[in-house]
Amino acid sequence: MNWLLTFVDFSLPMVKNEALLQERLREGDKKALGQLYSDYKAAFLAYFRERVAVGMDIEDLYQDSVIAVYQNYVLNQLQLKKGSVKTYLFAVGKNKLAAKFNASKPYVKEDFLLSQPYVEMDEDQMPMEQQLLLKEFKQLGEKCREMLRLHYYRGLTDKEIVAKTGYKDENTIKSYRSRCLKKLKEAIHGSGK
Amino acid sequence: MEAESDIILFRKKVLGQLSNDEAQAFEQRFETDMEFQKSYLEYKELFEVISVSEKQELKNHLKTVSEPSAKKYQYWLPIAATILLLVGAFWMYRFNAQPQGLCETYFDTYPNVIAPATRGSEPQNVLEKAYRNYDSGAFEKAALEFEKYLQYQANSDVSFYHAMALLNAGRLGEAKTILESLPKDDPDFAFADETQWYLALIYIKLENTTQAKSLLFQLETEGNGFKADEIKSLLSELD
Repeated sequence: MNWLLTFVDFSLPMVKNEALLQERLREGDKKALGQLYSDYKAAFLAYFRERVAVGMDIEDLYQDSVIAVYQNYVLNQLQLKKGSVKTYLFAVGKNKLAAKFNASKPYVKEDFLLSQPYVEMDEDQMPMEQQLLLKEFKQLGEKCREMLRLHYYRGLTDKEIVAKTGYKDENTIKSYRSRCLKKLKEAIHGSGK
Repeated sequence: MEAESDIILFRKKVLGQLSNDEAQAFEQRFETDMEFQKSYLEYKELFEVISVSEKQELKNHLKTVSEPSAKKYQYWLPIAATILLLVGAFWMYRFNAQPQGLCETYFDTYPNVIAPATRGSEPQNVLEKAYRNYDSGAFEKAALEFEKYLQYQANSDVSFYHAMALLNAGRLGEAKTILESLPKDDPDFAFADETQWYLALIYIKLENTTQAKSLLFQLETEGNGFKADEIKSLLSELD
């Protein structure tokens, strides 16, 4: 009865070690994202404030870097061969900075560059039709959004989605996703009229 | 609908993970197979849309994450730690006194009656894994898996086991919140009496004897006989 030994604990569970943190990041765990964000914020801001011209929004750089790291764990199922999450986060920050100032040569090692996240697109870089699609996607019900997210964004197979969600079987997943896509297309068609 | 192998190709392509040979074959097929081209463009468009939407959601989410404490306050940390230790020691002393010791006496791990493990069979999904870990005493892992399952669909029975896993892992506060949110009169919920019983034990641990007694009285009069003897003797000890 190990719970008897503990003091009453109302706090959120924290990810205790680096390996577990990385595993949870790969799984897209938002608590792990929160921990990543809180743990390295002070160090990141201090490091970059010393090196970057006054007037640049370092907090914004930090937020973008944390999201890029997180998305890279989720999308590429990143496995760091060496170095820690913190080193990687700082490397991403430096790369973003280099890109911002149009530096011809990024600061960081190649193995970090290879695992740069794909998605660096923002809404204002999208063509109008895609912006409309984004708008309609956000209007979909939560279950539909989640179903499309698991397939297109997380890249899970239907079998994996069954295991994760408890839907009956792969056919149920397929037909539900089709219905969601149909709904999305109808919405775009409707707003295009 | 596209074949699974095509979807794997689409995924690699949008993530820039195709090998040289694969990229060449992809381009060739993209030029000649109109169906393939159409499917890929749709996949790519949705991938980008959902990625951007995700990025926007993550930005909003980060706004809710608490700020780490600033450096200048670190001076107070040793003092704060000492105060916390003293308060902690005081509370540990209180918890070891009666009646809090009662809940240790009466606590036992609730058995998994939903999905008992079948020898040799591998768990097929996250829920089976959760129950398997619960059975083997890996309560932290089980709690995480129950939580994952519940993200996608609400289920009071599963929530009850989620709370049990948390309770066994020592996370009383979280277990209490879940147990308090479970239905009392839903005929489809199989663990209403059990929920009351474990909540009563938590209240005792938290020194809320009045609320614990009220739950136990209710269980004694309206319950279905679950822990009837224990309820009687616990009530007499609380008086």
